[in-house]
Amino acid sequence: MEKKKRYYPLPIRVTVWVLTVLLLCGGVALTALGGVGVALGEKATAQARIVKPYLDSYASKAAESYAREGAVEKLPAPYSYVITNERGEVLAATYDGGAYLASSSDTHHRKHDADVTVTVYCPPADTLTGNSPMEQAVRLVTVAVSGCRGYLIGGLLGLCLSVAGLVFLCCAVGRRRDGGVALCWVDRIPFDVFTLLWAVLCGLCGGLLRLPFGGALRVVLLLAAMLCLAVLLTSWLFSVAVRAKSGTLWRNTLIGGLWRALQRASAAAGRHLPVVWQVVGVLLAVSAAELLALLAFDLLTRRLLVLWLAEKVLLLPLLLWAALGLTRLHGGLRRMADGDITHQVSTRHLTGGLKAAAEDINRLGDGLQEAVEQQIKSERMKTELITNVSHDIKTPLTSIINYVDLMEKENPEDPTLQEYLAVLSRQSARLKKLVDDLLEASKASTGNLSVDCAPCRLNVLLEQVVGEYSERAQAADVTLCPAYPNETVTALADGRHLWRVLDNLLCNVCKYAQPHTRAYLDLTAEGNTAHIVLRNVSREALHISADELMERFVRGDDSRHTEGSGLGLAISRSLMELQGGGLNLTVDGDLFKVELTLPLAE
Amino acid sequence: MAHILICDDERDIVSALRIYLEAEGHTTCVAYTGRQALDVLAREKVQLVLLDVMMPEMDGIAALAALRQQYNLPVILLTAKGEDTDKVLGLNVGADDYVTKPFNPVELLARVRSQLRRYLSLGAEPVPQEDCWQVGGLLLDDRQKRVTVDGEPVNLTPTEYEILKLCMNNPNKVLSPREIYRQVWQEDPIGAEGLVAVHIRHLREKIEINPADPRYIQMVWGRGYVLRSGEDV
Repeated sequence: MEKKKRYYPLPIRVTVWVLTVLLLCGGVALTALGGVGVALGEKATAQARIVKPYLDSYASKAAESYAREGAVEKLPAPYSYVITNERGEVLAATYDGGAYLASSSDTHHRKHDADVTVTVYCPPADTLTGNSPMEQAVRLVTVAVSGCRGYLIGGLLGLCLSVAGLVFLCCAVGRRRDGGVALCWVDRIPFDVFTLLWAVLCGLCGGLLRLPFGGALRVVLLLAAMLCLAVLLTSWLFSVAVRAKSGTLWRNTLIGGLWRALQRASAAAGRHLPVVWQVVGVLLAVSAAELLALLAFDLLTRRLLVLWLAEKVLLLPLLLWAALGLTRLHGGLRRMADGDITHQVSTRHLTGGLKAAAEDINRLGDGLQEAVEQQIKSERMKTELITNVSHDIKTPLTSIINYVDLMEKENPEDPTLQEYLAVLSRQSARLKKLVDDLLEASKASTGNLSVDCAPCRLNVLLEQVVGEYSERAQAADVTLCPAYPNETVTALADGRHLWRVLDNLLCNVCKYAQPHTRAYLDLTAEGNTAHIVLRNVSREALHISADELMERFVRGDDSRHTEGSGLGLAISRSLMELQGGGLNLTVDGDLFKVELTLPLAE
Repeated sequence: MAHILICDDERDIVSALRIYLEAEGHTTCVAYTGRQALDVLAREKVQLVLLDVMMPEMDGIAALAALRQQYNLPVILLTAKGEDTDKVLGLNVGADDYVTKPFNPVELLARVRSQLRRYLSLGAEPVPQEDCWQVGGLLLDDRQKRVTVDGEPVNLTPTEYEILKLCMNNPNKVLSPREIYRQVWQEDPIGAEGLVAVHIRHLREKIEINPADPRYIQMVWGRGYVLRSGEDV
């Protein structure tokens, strides 16, 4: 892989390309020559086979002319002939009876006279030095046959070398020094257009061979055409390689572009056009295409037109009916997706697959509805269970609290007893708080609380809250630093619930903040949201993450000896969510930061 | 002192309550179901009822509805159900006060005292004179600069007194801290509205039995404060 990506400078690549093209042309020519030689077999036979067609044509021409005019027009240079009648008498001859390469006879039948037979002879190959096509062909065959193996091997070797060069060039082409892929202007032409252009150019090269030039010029033409073809084919191959490397081979095609544009257009139409109009549009397009095709191939007869129209007229209502059914199904699905799961799709006028689909959608809706009802029921049962259990716990708890209180009033002399009573009193108070919090957490998390959101002036609310807490904060040796903006921030909130949240948070501040520090309470409005941020420094190191702090029954202190249930933050978050806001907790070292968000009132 | 009916299906709670109330000098009678409570009421002359809600045979709400058809005496509902809807239901059916279990005995006794005072001694008090304002058991006499809660005098600072007077002049009206500051301090509050909240808190601690669940001066979060008077106190 590493080798493939190496960069080769332009001169090296051009040199290799030139060599490859030359090797390719030479290899093709030599291989063709060698192949012809091998195919023709032994030398003398091959020469004779090449000469034969020429001799045949001369013999028949000569026989005909003799029969018609009683004489033979002059044969070109190396040929000689003998004319005999049917009895074998020689009528005329230029043949001297020497050695010959090949001969051909033709007999012409005459109606009123004896038949004549003309035999044309070609002299041996080594005497053929002229420039006639026959002599050139014989010389070429002589060359081909005499060295055929060598040519074939050389040609194949050249081809192999050129293939190696091509592989190398395909790897090296388009590679930039930094390993990226460089596309030149040729590679930016859409691939199908490019291929077509190159095919036309190749065709032009082939056309060169049709020019009426003979002799040496023809050989030059042949070579030129071959070179041009080789250059075109190799450059096409390189462009393919570059495109493949940059991944634009299929992407950058005219057809692909058109296809994608069509897809985009149809997708857009699918989203914005009603199904009925889509169907009508497609039908119209198909009909127009059919009509055009029929007209183009001249197939449109009157009878066919009538049939065609009848088909369309039958098809249109059928398609419209299906499209309307689909629209209805889609409408039903959309209403269910929007939350109206009690919606039922009407199955009237629907048959077959559409009806089955409608029924399935209705069943889906029923299933969903049932699941939601189950869920609601189970949530309600859970809340009810917690509520009832809480009430049942409260009754014995009342007795415990009261009798502990009564025992304390008895003023026991024994200090140990007093100490025990203090423990009972403290723990029963804690149990009371725990039960209350549990009840509230259950209600808040299941949304089983009435929420009455109204415009609420947060500046005023925070002033009230700070006023409530100023003395408790002083007692805990924490300075409350509220900061409000000058303009009033009015949010949509339920004041009682928001108070519960802030009560909880400030209670935490008084309990857990490091004495001798400040707690900041900032109010800001951003966009559509009001932010209340409370920051304080924790007394104990907070070893747990903000997420864990939010979980129920978890508190920041490792030892669980302080009062509180650990439900406060969970309740607060639930209450904020019930009001359409949020609660975010951040722990940064000892800095404890709570951010409340609420939607602003209009 | 008064004769009090304690009605709860939990006998331990009933005896604890008896001990508390008798220590205060009241006499008590007991019932363990709503029906028994109605029987006792028919038999004895009772001045106050402590009524549980969840009881067998006849629950507290039904018993309350039944006794309200005949009696005018104060009823304090005593229940484990602490939700707002339960409280509203209880008060609407005719309870005079609502205490949730587990309760603080001191608070309960204070509420009993308050109800008895209103029923026995203040109930028939004539409409107060000029420069006097009354809201429930709360009485402000501006000539003597004196405030009493259920007959008991309360010591207020001049600022607290002014705030209370303003609230009693505007019962059931929500007063914003800014408004209160302007009226009481007679100047524009420039970032000093926070002071109002502190004074209100002190005031509440002095005039309310349970400052966390105020009867008179209530918070309207995000708007201000309101002094509730009339039926819903």
